[in-house]
Amino acid sequence: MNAPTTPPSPKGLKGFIARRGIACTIVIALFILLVAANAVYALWEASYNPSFCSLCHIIRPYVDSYHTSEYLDNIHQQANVGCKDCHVTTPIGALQEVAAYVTGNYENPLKERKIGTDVCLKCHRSYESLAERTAHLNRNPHESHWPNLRCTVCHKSHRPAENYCAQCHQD
Amino acid sequence: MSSKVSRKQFLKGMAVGGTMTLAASTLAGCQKAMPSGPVPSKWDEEADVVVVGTGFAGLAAAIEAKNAGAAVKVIDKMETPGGNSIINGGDFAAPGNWYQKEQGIEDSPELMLKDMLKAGLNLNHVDRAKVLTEKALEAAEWARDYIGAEFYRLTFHGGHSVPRTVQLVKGGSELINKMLKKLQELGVTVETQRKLERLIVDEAGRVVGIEARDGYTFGDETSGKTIYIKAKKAVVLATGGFSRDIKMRMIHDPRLTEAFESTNHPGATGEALRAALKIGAMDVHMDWIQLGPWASPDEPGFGYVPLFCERVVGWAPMINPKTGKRFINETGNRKVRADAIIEIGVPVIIVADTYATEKNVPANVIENGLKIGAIKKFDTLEEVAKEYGIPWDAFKAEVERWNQFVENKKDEDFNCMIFQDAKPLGFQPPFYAARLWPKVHHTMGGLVTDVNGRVINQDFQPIPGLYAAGEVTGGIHGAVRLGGVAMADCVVFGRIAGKNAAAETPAA
Ligand SMILES: Cc1cc2nc3c(=O)[nH]c(=O)nc-3n(C[C@H](O)[C@H](O)[C@H](O)COP(=O)(O)OP(=O)(O)OC[C@H]3O[C@@H](n4cnc5c(N)ncnc54)[C@H](O)[C@@H]3O)c2cc1C
Ligand code: HEC
Ligand code: HEC
Ligand code: HEC
Ligand code: HEC
Repeated sequence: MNAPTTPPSPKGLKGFIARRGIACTIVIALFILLVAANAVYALWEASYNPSFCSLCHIIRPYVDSYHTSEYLDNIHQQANVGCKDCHVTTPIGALQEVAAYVTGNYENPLKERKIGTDVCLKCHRSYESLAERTAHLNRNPHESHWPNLRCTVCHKSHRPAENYCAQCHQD
Repeated sequence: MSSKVSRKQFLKGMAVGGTMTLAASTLAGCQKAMPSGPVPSKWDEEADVVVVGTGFAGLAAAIEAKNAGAAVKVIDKMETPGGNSIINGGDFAAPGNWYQKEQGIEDSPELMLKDMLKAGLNLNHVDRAKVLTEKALEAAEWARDYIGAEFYRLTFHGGHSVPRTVQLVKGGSELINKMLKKLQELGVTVETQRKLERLIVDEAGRVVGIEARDGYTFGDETSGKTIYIKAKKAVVLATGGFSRDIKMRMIHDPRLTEAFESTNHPGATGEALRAALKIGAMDVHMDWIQLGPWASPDEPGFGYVPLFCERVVGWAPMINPKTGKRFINETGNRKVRADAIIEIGVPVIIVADTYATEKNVPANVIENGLKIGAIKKFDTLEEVAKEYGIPWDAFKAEVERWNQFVENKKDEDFNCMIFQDAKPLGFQPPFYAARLWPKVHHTMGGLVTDVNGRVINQDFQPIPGLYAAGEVTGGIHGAVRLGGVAMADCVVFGRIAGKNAAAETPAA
């Protein structure tokens, strides 16, 4: 795996408190509550901007990759597709992510989540239309045993693509 | 005087004794499963019938259970449904089928049973094999008419005495995808990335649900979280074989180290079968593990070479590269051939000329096999020898000998079946060759079940609330499974298990 990494940090609330002291933790906790109570909407709006994502150190490598890589993220950046177009989440989900970040309750590099075909097919229409685009390939990856295979099994977004079929077919 | 027992009395005594033993064994051997750990105080989810596995067997069971009125849940540990079934070749053995009728081929369930017992070395559990042969045609028609799967031709597989397999367009994925569609229409969702970890048994010894990992990612045993699913009527195990479970297969056949690849999907592992053993289920034929002797070490998975090799045997020789000589009946069964190759210890060579190849092998198989290098092309036999390090003089002499057998249509060394139109090797160069090294293909062994699909325990009694069907079960094929019979087995007994599971009375 070539997922972007940042230096490791201790995990869990304990680690966080140890690092930043109890007072700081309480302030941050209050801040989260405040956000939860009053600023969900503003936060939600702001979160559409990639530079918002880079506020968290753990996310920065993904943002850098989005702007400069040879991977799918950059192709989408050029096509004006934002982080949130692929990372569809609810305001509550976003808050949980912030909370997880603040408490250090996450893995580094982040554990990859699975993004369903529905997210990609919002823009890429259907497997049938994709199959037409790749009909020239010897083994059409968009017309296989599994008609609804998750796109990201092959198309990794922040790292090179993988060929799922290759475990059984060399061509 | 008292010792003077009349013959009649004596016989009577025997009969009574017999009944008593039977009664005693029924008493001692209750219809019970062994406890496997605590029964959860709270279930996360429930259904009447919980089906584990989304291959032919599991989906057939789910459809029948649903149609019998049960609330059904179907889970699979992998992200993609379909197990081995969705990558299979789509050959379904059905005696008396519609193509046979069209072509005037006489066939019957009895003849198929005879073929199965012969290949199976009579180790087959005959009662179930009989049900299979009697219901196979009905099952194929159900797949065609009710499920809507498209078949397109009649095929022949070694060991059957007539061509009797009907083949699906696009292979097994045709049937699996149509079954998935049918389930969707019936309102049953298939839940992937849910792995069965434990069968839960209540105090009465009945299977009442499962412990599973929800959100499981194959290969990461810490992924996902534990959930408990209650099965009010029954659990149907349809978790397939264990060809890719290296530790488990080495217990039963220690030769099958990681040096052996497999044609199976990565999830063909045995933990669900073992979960049933842990609660007292009985297993059978576990060391009868079928290797595909037609597989190539030069390509992954099933590949192209089997489609080349199996079409040219009986037309072309197989050579031991160490000696330059033939070593086995090329048209013999999978077991004998695979064992012989393993004994040699290095990949062997199949070599055919253009005549035999073009006559039998689809052009795209050769084209694609050449492209990836699993099949190679040579202008002369000397080049073949050089490439594979075969001693040339011995090889040359052996080819001359083989060609003599071909002329006479009789193999005096190994009794290979030589086809009528076969011609001596070299009749039409160039030559095509491939290396062969067996891959683990099918596990004949598994859980003992009865004709109703119920799992049998160590006291020969059915375990209440537990059914199984498909490759996770054992006994029906005996020593060797014939081509196309796995599909028939899965659909016939999947349907039986599903129907009977739905007819169970819920646990108190
Ligand atoms: C390449 C290939 C070609 C074949 N061609 C033919 C053919 O043409 N004709 C024929 O008759 N036979 C053929 N076979 C054999 C046949 O396909 C299989 O025996 C059959 O598909 C088995 O079906 P099944 O439903 O029992 O299991 P599978 O289809 O393997 O399904 C079992 C499912 O259970 C799931 N599972 C396993 N453990 C768990 C667990 N713990 N928790 C949750 N889910 C679990 C698996 O992920 C899998 O999806 C072929 C086999 C292969 C590999
Ligand atoms: C084309 C869709 C797409 C775009 C655009 C995109 N991502 Fe992703 N991202 C994914 C997918 C899919 C994954 C899961 C891993 C994979 O398959 O590569 C992922 C993984 C991640 C992860 C790892 C944790 C997780 O949720 O799996 C982070 C963090 C991330 N992306 C951040 C970003 C940020 C920040 C941006 C914008 C700068 C962005 N992504 C833009 C599709 C996208
Ligand atoms: C908001 C719309 C949108 C979403 C969501 C989206 N894409 Fe795209 N994607 C595009 C556009 C626009 C392009 C560039 C034009 C094209 O090639 O179709 C593109 C291009 C691509 C390409 C072609 C890359 C190349 O080499 O040319 C792939 C592959 C792709 N997307 C995959 C995905 C996957 C996988 C997802 C889901 C994780 C996804 N897309 C989600 C809009 C989107
Ligand atoms: C089995 C692997 C696999 C899966 C799954 C897969 N793709 Fe692809 N996709 C490929 C390959 C391979 C190509 C061809 C890349 C190339 O030509 O370099 C491709 C090409 C594309 C392209 C560019 C087509 C073009 O005109 O060149 C798009 C867009 C795309 N995929 C989107 C998707 C989306 C959206 C999904 C999910 C609905 C998906 N793919 C699922 C393997 C896959
Ligand atoms: C787990 C192994 C496995 C994986 C992964 C796999 N395949 Fe296959 N596939 C097979 C096998 C085995 C066959 C041949 C079955 C036979 O002929 O017995 C096959 C056959 C095919 C065929 C020919 C079907 C026909 O019409 O006869 C196509 C096309 C195909 N695969 C495409 C794909 C594509 C595209 C992918 C990737 C999305 C893929 N496969 C992934 C195992 C696999």
